[in-house]
Amino acid sequence: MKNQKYIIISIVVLILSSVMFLGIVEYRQRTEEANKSWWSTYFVAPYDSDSLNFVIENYDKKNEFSYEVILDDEVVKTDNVVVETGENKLIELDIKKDETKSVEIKINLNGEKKGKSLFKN
Amino acid sequence: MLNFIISQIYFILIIIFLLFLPGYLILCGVFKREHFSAIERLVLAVPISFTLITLLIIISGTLGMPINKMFLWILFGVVNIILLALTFFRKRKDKTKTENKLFNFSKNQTRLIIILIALTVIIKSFYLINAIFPTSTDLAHHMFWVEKIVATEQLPEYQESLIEFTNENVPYLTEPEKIADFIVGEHLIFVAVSLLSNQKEITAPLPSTVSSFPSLILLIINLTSILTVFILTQRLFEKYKHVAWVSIFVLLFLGPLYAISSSQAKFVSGGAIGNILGDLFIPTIFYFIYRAFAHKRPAMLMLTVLFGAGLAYTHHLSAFIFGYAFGFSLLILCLLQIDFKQLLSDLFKLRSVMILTILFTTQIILNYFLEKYSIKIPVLKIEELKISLIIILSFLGNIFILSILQKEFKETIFDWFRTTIKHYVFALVVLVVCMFTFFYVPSYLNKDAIGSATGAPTKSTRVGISLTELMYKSGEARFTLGIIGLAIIILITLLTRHPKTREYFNRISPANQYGQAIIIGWTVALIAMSLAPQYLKVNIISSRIANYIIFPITILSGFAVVWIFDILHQRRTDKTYLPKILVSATFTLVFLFVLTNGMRDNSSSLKELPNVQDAMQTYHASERLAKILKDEDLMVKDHNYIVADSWIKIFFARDYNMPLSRAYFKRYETNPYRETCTLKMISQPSTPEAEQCFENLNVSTVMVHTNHDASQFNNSSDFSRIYQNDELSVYFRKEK
Repeated sequence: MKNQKYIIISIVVLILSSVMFLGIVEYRQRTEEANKSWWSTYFVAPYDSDSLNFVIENYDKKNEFSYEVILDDEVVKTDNVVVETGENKLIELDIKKDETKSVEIKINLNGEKKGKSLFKN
Repeated sequence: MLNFIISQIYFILIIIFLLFLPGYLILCGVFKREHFSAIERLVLAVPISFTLITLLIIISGTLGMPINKMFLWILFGVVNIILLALTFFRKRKDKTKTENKLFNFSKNQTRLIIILIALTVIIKSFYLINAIFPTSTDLAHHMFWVEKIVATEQLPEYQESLIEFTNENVPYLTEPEKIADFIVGEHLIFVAVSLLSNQKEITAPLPSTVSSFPSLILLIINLTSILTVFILTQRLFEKYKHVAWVSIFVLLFLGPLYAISSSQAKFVSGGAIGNILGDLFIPTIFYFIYRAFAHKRPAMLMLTVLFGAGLAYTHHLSAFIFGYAFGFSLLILCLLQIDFKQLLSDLFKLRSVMILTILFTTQIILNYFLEKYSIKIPVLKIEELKISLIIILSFLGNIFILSILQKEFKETIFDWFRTTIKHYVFALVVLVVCMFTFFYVPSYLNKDAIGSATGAPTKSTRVGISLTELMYKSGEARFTLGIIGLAIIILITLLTRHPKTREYFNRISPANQYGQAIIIGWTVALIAMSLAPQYLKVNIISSRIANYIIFPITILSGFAVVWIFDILHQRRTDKTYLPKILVSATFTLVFLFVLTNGMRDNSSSLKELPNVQDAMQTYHASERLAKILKDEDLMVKDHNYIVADSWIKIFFARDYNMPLSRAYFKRYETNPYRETCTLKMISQPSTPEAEQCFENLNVSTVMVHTNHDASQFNNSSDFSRIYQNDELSVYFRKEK
């Protein structure tokens, strides 16, 4: 009976330790590893053809962004913006988009070769 | 991090509350102490708890109770209090402290068992480090329904809308149609744990199931199933003096060796919930069947019936396979009751001839009426059998019926009914059948689903696998030793039937007739279903069936190793039949063969680092879109390149098929009848066919991997890019 107790205690300790360990591993993967070096950008009101306001959401260590607004191949605005790691920033544009024209917003993270772009046709 | 550790401790306490306590209290409260050892109570508490939780939630949900946090706390709180009271009452009544001799291990054996369990847990945990983050497709499909139950507080209707085409080739979405592949028992434990352990708060802003907890529950169940096989082995071979070593070798072959292969840790991370639960239920049911008949305990048979219900509400494939394994075991048990010598001598007597004549005449008349009125029996599908096979089966069946009328056989049957199959067991069976038929019918219990799983195999993947493939699936070493073990058991069983050798082999047989019937029947059934399914009317993917052979073949392999070296070693005089050095060398070689085979299997199964970052970007995009996409608008996404894309539907929480999905390219090539809207909308979005799909299916949004599929959208004036991250782009289609 004493030996059965040792086996039972071992089973319980091992299984619960494994559960705890893997839970912590996954938590760290989700909160630390995952958000190492990526960022996203999106329109605030994608269905609204008039609104060009957009958001930069940053999970990269770098935080200096630049963007330019191109209206039918003509650059109408450029600017720089700082978005801290783990934060998102709303960029409001008071540019009115004509329905007949297409607009493209190119966003770059300084130091990165390839940027991202949003566009409305 | 501290907050998370506290929440993880709370999660563990909830697991104990749900997946251990009720089962443990039932074992302590209903049964005498001497009926189960401490290890058996620990291990069996898990499947009993799981079954109880599942059935209680099904009953409550069907009666209209809301499946929410408060209700579940009250329900399981009351259940546990009642069981606790029962346990106290039983403890006061039953003061015996009889030690169960079966699970008494020596110090060395105890150390070995602990080391093996530790290695098993460590290897599986090591594998899961790279697989614990939720990205797998199967797990996503199941967790969608878990989230649905949590959100609606009701048992779900398993259904989805499909893309169909009218006669004029216009695509449309059907009304939701039933899906037979999901069964409610696969999801309720996750619902209960998610609600009671506040997973939603822990994982916010992600949905509660996008975390490690589903895989951790599956890991616990997987480890419990290994321990269940361990205790089942102890019981099946309880007659054998070296039973402890048999179960230790079984633990070795099932635990650290082949720890990661399919149906083990791979299924844990892959989210093959039904298979993992089936692997827990099948050995548990056989355990209680054995205990019920071998030890004449009707209460254990009642648990068997409940487990059968639990299995049927949890995984149809496992239930189907168990049905065959049980059928084969029962057939072998019946054959073991027959006195063949007496049968042969009775065969030509007048009484036997009359009975056979009546039976044959009845069958011919029955067949005539079946043919005349074109009545087809769905499951048996007799019309698919050749006439010669029907005649042979009829002949054998009639001989079997004749043998049942033997005096000894009748006495055995009466004894079973007198001691074990009591009236209250029947009452429970009737109750369970009523529950199935009228109360809550499992989604797979319909003519189409049953018809598709039975009958002649209809695809090349269902005609059986080769013996080599079966061997590789179970591990070459395990399979080889297992077949040797099977041959030994069958030989001993046959020799216990022979009058001249009966007495001696009954004495030295490692298992009684129930143990023999179970292990032979279980193994032979699965070999037959894997290699020659057409003869058993099994129409299921053969490689899936082959996964189930691992448990019985492992039990036999453990037995084979111990038995062979036992007969070579005559302990009394400490002599061996062969030179000691030869015996030692052979043992070492066999051990090395098994060890390298098992460890090689582990190393080839290890995963690369997970795509956590890519998956998080998919979840981020999904979370954003779920907030802004209108209810009437649909989305299509790609399954080929987007990581963890199957989890997107959990964020939208609409139809199971939303978002629509461009499947793997080969599926469109191999199935000419498959809809191609999902393919065209992403691959060729500007074509007239794609535009028709967009319009008629009301698809406004497309999610693709930027590197692979962005160009066709960037070059189109019909699409606007509304979201982009490092991996994905989301496009919105202009209304025309």
